[in-house]
Amino acid sequence: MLADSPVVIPTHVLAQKMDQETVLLNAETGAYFGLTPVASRAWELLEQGSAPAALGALLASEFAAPVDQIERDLTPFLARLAEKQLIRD
Amino acid sequence: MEQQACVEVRLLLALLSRAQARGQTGAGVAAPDAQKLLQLACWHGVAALALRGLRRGGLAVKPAGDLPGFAQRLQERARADSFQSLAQLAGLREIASALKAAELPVIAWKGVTLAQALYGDSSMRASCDIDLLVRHQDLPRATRVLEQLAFQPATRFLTAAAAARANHLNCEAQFCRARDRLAVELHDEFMPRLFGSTLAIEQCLVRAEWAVLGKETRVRTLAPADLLISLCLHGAKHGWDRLKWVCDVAAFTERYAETIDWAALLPAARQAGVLEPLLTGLRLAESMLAATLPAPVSACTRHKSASRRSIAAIERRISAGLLEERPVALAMQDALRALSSPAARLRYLVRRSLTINALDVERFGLPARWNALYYPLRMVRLLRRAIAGAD
Repeated sequence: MLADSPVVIPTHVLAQKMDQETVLLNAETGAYFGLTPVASRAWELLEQGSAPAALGALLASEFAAPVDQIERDLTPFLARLAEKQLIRD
Repeated sequence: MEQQACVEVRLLLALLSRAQARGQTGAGVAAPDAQKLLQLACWHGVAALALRGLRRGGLAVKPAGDLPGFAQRLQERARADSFQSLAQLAGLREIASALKAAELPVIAWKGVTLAQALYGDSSMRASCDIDLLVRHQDLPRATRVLEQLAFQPATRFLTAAAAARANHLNCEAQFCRARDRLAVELHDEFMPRLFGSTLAIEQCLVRAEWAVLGKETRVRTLAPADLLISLCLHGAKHGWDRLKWVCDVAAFTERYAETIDWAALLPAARQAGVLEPLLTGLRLAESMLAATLPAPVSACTRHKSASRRSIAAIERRISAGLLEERPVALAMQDALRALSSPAARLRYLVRRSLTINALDVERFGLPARWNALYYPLRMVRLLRRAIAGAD
């Protein structure tokens, strides 16, 4: 179940869009992350304040994929972002 | 560019060119070596810009051969540069906050703030360090602030005296932090002291503008006119041997042409003795990257023949597609070309002959009370080198 309130991106997280990808830096841990084009778009929507629960429908329409499949992929993606301290609830 | 460049340089210029951005088409190019093209893009610090050119509309000039994997390898390099620029952005935020707390006014120069201003994207410009401009009198305090943030002085000299001498002459002090390998340079002048004074940092601080580095931090940056002059001085200092500096000037003309009072800038630059490098930078951007120059610059005939010679020499060097630093003799020629008048060139040569540099200090290592002996020893060293050169 995806949260229906926006996530918080801590100030120590820096993001840089590069072509269709996004690179992230957790300045506290010094760890870098690269996001694929779909994940980049999800990150962009999170940055803009979209709630995780709203991402499925938005991404499904943009990438012409079934909503349930997108939501299945979003759950571990968001969990991983939280685990790496790139977002918090 | 008038002369025939090597295929890969022509292709790279086509990717970076403002004409390419405007969708124009250039002449045909045959059989490029993709590896060489990639090396050139990295050497010139323009991987991300070249990738952007490629994505925007392919090449203005069509390669006869294929470029297998070129875009992917360019992207990998651009990604690495992007990681580096994010780290520098984080570092700059941290340093800016610490300097603000210490009430030390500094200007962030080049690097991520420049990339953001010129290209709208801090990853578009490869940079190896964070450059900060500080007033000469603030250098010791700024050094202490950096040391509190775990930055250590970095130098290639073995003795502290030689390092201090090099810092003083080059107007820059280098620092590095082991934990994230971030490099920082503090500058108290735009050019080494041998060139004489150029833009006064004190005045630049008065005219400075603010750039936002995230939700909580902002940092001073140069006002546009100062920025352009500083970019041209920096290019001249290095003989314009990296295309990224020419790209910066070209991007500047596109971004700021309308906001600059060119009719006032040119006489002011002449008065400050920086007109020659300014015009060279602008004319290089026009010649190599099809930048559109503002009418007052195009109409300015001063230093035209000198600029033409400088530009031709720079273009020849870049066109050859070499991946190495300039030899010292060539660097000195470039330095002389960058100076506006015969008197300034003469002053430079006299200063260069008489100034004790870090190599003298390292080589002879005299105690402080014997400092005067450095002068005759330097003369002997230069004489011996000249005789060896004549042989």
